[in-house]
Amino acid sequence: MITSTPVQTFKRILIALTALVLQLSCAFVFAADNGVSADLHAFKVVSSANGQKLVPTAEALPGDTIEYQVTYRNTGATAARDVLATLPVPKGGMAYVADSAAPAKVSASLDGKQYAPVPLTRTVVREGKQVTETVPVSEYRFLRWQLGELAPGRSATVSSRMRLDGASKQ
Amino acid sequence: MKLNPVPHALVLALGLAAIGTDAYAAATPAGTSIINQATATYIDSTLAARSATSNTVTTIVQQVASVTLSAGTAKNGSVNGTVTYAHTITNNGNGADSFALAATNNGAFTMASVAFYADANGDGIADNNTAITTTGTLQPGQSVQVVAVATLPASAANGAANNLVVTAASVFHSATTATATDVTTVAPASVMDITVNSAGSGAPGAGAGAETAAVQTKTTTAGNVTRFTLYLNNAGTSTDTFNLSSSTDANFGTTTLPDGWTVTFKDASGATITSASVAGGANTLVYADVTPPAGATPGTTDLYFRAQSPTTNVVDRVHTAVTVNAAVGAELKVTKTQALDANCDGIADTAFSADNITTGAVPGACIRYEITATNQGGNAVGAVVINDLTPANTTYHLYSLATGAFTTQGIVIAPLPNTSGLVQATVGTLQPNGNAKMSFGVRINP
Repeated sequence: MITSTPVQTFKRILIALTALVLQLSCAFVFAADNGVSADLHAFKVVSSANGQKLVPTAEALPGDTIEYQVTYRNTGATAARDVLATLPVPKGGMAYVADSAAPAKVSASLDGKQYAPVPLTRTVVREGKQVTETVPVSEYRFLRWQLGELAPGRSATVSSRMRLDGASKQ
Repeated sequence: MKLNPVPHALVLALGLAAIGTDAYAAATPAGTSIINQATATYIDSTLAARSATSNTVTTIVQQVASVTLSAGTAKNGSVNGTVTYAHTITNNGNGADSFALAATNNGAFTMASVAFYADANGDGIADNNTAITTTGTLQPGQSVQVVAVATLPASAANGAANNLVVTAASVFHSATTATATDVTTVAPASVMDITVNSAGSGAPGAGAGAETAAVQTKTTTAGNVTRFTLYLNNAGTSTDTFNLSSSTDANFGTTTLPDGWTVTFKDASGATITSASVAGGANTLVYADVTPPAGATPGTTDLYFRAQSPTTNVVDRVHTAVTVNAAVGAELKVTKTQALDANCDGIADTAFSADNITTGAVPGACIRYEITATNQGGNAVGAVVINDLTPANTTYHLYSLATGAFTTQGIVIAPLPNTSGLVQATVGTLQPNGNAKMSFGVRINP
């Protein structure tokens, strides 16, 4: 039968603590390497005599305009490069409000795979002729911004407005 | 749709078009959760591709009320009558809702009553006698058809108009309403106007009352029928039944026709009728078959037709005439008249008459005769000869050439003075209504 001495016991505790610290530090390092966080908020755009204001909301009426704001923050110790921020136009009757994207230089996609700078155009054949037409903004399903490099501790915010279909709202 | 890539353009797969149609769908149903989540991709310091995903944000779609009501219409109505207006109510909101039905009056008069009824089959007629005050629950996009039935008051004046403002108000959100206005103009229940040959306001006989002159004259011969085509025009709002009658009196003081005359009214199918039903705003064709008796005196007879409702007393008359021409072979009418010429100077002492001479016709006195032949037929008659004989106990009398036997047409022959025999005028042709008169004198034997 082996009995542990106080020294042995101390060593064990030390090893355990070290392992714990190592694990914690490893976890910290991992988080730093994967250090861009994204924080999304929705606001209702309320118009009044004093102009528009944004009110945090979890509800919407048909015809309401919702502004989505996403803040990307580099919480890591190293720079994040070639940051591409993607904001979907959610299903359920939402449509992108033209020219509401900020920053204004934005790309859009109908399928989440192929992006092109707005306004989107497409070529169709109508009555035997090739016609280049502007894709209605209501068909946009994704918005994408090129944020470039995000230095440690820095953040960037993108926003866009979406309108809930209210064709029949009176 | 053929798609071609162009610079700065997006190439679409055909199926992707469906994605965009979401935005065109009807209003998003209440209770729908709209969930959004942002992402990012980037390159970290080890050149590894990384991604970041945001929290999700959920937005719950709230109910909004919206309703449409089909446009109002305009109708004519009569006092104490009803008018029915069909309306379609559609829930254009994004949640189930029901709609309260109401009506308010403005304009020259107020409806005696207004009620709404279901009209599920949309035929514009109430489905039953159960009045309703709401539409019942309608799902988003669902419609229901109802009718508003309004009763006109007894006091409403002809030409007055009522505006019935029909309102459908959301029960979910009472401030959300839709309105439509139905206009009712009071018009007489029935209005009669008889016309001849064609219907409507420009037809012969259009307008109230009997015309001063016949609007149509039919020609027939004694014993033969002639047909008038009459139209009974009812410019009112309701069906009415009109009794039919005829008279030679414009005021219909009597409806007894001259001896032997008959008038038979018939409908379009030829069936004999004594009355005719005419719907509001419509007309009904009626034939009037007029038959003068076989022995009818040729000539023109004024004849009036009347249509009168026994319930509303609405009435109109029309003035026509029938000309009876003598039958073929009986066109010529011959009449003989006489007058005393007491002093035998060849000049009648009195007016000519068919009556007996009762005084003065003594031996030695003279009598003057006039024989008139008239063509009462519709066609000319030829080779007309008027013959007469000096009566017994008289001789042909010639006072002077100017007063001798004479004819207004053709040539005349006579016996020698103071002899008896034939007096004859060879007239020749007589046109319709034309006549010729032969005249001569005799002396009663002394």
